Amino acid sequence: MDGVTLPRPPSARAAETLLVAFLATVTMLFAGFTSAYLIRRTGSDWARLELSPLVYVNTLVLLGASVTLELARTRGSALWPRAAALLGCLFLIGQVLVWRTLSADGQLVWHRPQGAFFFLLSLVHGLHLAGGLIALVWLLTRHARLHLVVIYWHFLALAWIYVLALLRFQ
Amino acid sequence: MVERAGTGVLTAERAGPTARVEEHHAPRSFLGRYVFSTDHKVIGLQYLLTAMLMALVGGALAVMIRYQLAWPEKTVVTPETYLALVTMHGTIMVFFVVSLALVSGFGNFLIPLHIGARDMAYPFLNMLSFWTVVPGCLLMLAAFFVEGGAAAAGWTAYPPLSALKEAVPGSGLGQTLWLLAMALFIASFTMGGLNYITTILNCRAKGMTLMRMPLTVWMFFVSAVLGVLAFPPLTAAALMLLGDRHLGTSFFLPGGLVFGEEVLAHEGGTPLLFQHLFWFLGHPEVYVIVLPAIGIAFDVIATHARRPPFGYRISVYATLLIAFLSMIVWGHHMYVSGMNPLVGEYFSIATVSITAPFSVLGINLIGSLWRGQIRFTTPMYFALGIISVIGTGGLGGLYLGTSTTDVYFHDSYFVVGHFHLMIGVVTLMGTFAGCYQWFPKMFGRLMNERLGKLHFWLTFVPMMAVFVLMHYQGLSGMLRRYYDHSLFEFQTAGRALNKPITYFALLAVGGQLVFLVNFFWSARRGVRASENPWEGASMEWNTASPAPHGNFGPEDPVARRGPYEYAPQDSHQEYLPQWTA
Amino acid sequence: MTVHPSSAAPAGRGSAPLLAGLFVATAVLVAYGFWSLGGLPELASRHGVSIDATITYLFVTTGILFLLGHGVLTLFVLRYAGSAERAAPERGSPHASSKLEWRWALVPVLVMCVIAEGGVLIVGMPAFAQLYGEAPPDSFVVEVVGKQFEWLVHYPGPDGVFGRSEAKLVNDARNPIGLDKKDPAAKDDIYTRGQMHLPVGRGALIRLRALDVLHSFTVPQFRVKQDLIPGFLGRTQFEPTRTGQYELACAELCGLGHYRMRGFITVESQEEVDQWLSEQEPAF
Repeated sequence: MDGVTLPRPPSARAAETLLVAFLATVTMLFAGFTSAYLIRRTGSDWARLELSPLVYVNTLVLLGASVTLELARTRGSALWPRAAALLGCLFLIGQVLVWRTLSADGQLVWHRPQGAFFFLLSLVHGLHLAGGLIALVWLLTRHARLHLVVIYWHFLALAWIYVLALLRFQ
Repeated sequence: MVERAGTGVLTAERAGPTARVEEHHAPRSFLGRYVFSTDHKVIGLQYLLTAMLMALVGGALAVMIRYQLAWPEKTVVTPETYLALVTMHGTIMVFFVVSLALVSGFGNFLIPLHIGARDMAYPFLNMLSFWTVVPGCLLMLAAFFVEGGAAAAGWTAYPPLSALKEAVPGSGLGQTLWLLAMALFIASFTMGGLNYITTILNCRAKGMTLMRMPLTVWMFFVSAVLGVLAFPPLTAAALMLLGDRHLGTSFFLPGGLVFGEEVLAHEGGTPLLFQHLFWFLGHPEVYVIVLPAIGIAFDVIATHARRPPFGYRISVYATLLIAFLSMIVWGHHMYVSGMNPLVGEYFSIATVSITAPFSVLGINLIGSLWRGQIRFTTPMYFALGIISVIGTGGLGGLYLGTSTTDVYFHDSYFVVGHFHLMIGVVTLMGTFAGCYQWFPKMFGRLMNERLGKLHFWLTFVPMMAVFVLMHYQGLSGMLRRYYDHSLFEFQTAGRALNKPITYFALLAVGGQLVFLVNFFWSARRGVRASENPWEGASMEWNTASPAPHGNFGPEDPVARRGPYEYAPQDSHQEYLPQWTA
Repeated sequence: MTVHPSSAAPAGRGSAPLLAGLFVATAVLVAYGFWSLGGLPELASRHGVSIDATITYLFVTTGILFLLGHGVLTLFVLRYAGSAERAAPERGSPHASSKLEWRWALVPVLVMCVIAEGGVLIVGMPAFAQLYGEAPPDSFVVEVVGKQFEWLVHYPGPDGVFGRSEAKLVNDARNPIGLDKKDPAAKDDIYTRGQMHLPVGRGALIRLRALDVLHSFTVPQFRVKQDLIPGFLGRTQFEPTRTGQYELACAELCGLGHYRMRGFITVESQEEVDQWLSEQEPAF
């Protein structure tokens, strides 16, 4: 009974399916938050969120990471993924700084719904990005499935732009 | 079979030049084999056993609920305990018993065997998924022992009740543990669902086209897609509810809440938002757990009626339609919630339209007996029972889906009876049918038929009695989640049925002991099963009983025809297995 | 390949009549039970007539489907019970043509669309219109405030205007619904604890609000149920058609006392209601 054959490592196509299904579930998560946001926004205590300019710098950093990874995919140097990982870390640090500025000027406090939504959405996004960072580090050591990690990062860049747009249009 | 499996070490010849050739041995240590196993069959059994343990708890809670309702004057439990019992019974049964046993347990066990795969696409993810839900179970149970007791806001956890510890004692630490346990469950279930989707789409044996998959696999696939899409909004709602409870946010809490003359500081939130997010999951979840039970019924009936299911393709299409519709009808749980009535009317029109594809499944189940050669085995008993229960419970759904009649039936015992029939009895009987049917693949033995049939009678009769009687209580106007019905005169008529229901419920719970005895006794002492004791034609019978590590012998299995070639038209054989040339 | 003798798959021939009996018994008992045990409390509202009509309509249509389904199931179980011999040829091939399968898929689709959508859109419509349409202009307006675990009934008083109320003014003993003394419209307002009087044969428009958690305004005889949501002003409407006293119950889980959250609605003539109102103390 022992020593039987086992499966080949999952094929590249399987990994793609897994990623697509995962992105679908993450999309639904953001959709859930979106519907909550749109309904909550009609509340009596809603006020406009004044985003600090740092957010846009962060967004550029994240887009930079996306571009870098695209270069990694097409040019294939080991340097590009490292640069992307660095930019990803910078983005996360930047987001923490944004939280600090927002809470310093009294916008990010729990009883203000717009601040709470900003925190919640950026936190959920940040956690998924941290997952992306882990995948990148893993990639740096194993050199496999680069295109999947790239897709994931592009997705997160898009998700962030979506979140930002959602919060901006009020 | 066993020798064939023992020969060996295999290569990955079909995996293409880039794949590493892996030599893989079945784990030898106890821990690797039974605890931290990555074998889908072991994981499936782990889920099944976990669900059995949780079912003991859920069943005990049911007994206590019924005891209180039958003899309220004895006040065996306090109101706070009663609400905790109701809440925890619902949560444990829906998520930690039925979802675990049927979807996670049988899904894991059957999908690779059915599609001719050697394991799930991601065995490690699979193991991770199981070991995520275990702490979830423990947290859920731990809630009984904390200050204020377990969560008491109902399994639906509507705020403000679930958000404020001022509102009900269980909304203290108990509710927090409930939310954390649910988060772990959702994480586990999502990992499982992603794995199912990936496996079914990518790991099918050669020749196993989508339309050659057994209906069980189709149902698991649809169920996984629904789960993956419907759970995230509940995750979002749970996060926001945690915020409202612990951080002072006001997502669901409006201004001006008064408890004991204290005005709370919350402002601007809306309680209805939670209900929308909850039922966006809650309704598809019904189909997540009912569809696999129906799939199992189709497979069991095909095997034991010796004919292909009636309308295989049509059933697949109907299921896809049901899945789509199930995601756009959540509002039928909220007709009287204060939602815009016109929106409610839309939800009503959409909801009752589900009965069309659903009754197609019902017709196809019955049609699958037409001109068959029925062998009345225990799994067949349960599968036939499922048809009857679906016929009974499913039609009751119309009374609730129609928005105007729901005004009367909402939150009455009619609802309790209806959903217990559909997501309690149908799913349990599906699980049992699966156990009796595929026990040989689990333990290499058959379950005892006499005890099995006794178990069927002790399940079908008392459970139908309990939940049909609850329909009558609902018709008479009796309301649910009442600690004691004797304070209202209009509930007198319904109350008279409380004692009979409790007797039947005790019989139904007691009857499950027969199953437990049969399960564990047969696992060691049952009649040894051949590879294919039921003469089944689908792929899982193309391997030893119990199925070895790696599922199939050294040759990768090939599907040469559909899974239901019983009474083939152009052959003298009684059936043609899917795998033979 | 070899076909194994089916040693472990007993035909279980005694089973067919047993199971057939079970399904017949199920069908008969369930239907009989709906017929004899499932009486609704005696109706006492106008729109309730069409709710009851819809229930009866569903009762008849689903009842027929239920009995038909169980009948066919029973017949098939008896007719197609396996025998020890191999296939009995007179039964014909079990392979249905896909045309036949599609035809049998179409039947339930059409039947259910007619029955189900007919119930929602045609039979149920009058009730829907009366429940959610414009309230009659001469409606008798009352406010119900739900709190753990009692119903507070608020009448606007002779001026017909509800006074302003505020959460922070709520005082259990002296001002349970938090009326604002400074609002002139509040002075003549009347509130009671769980006692509501409604005129018979006149539309009642009930304003619904809650102080703490969700509650649900339920009177089975009126066929009325509507949630009270804290932070929102909801409403429900109905016309009582029978005099008498009715119990007001809560249908949405609201905490420990959910089961004893009881109020009373007395339906009587307009004069008696006016008389009763004039006997009540104004709020301030």
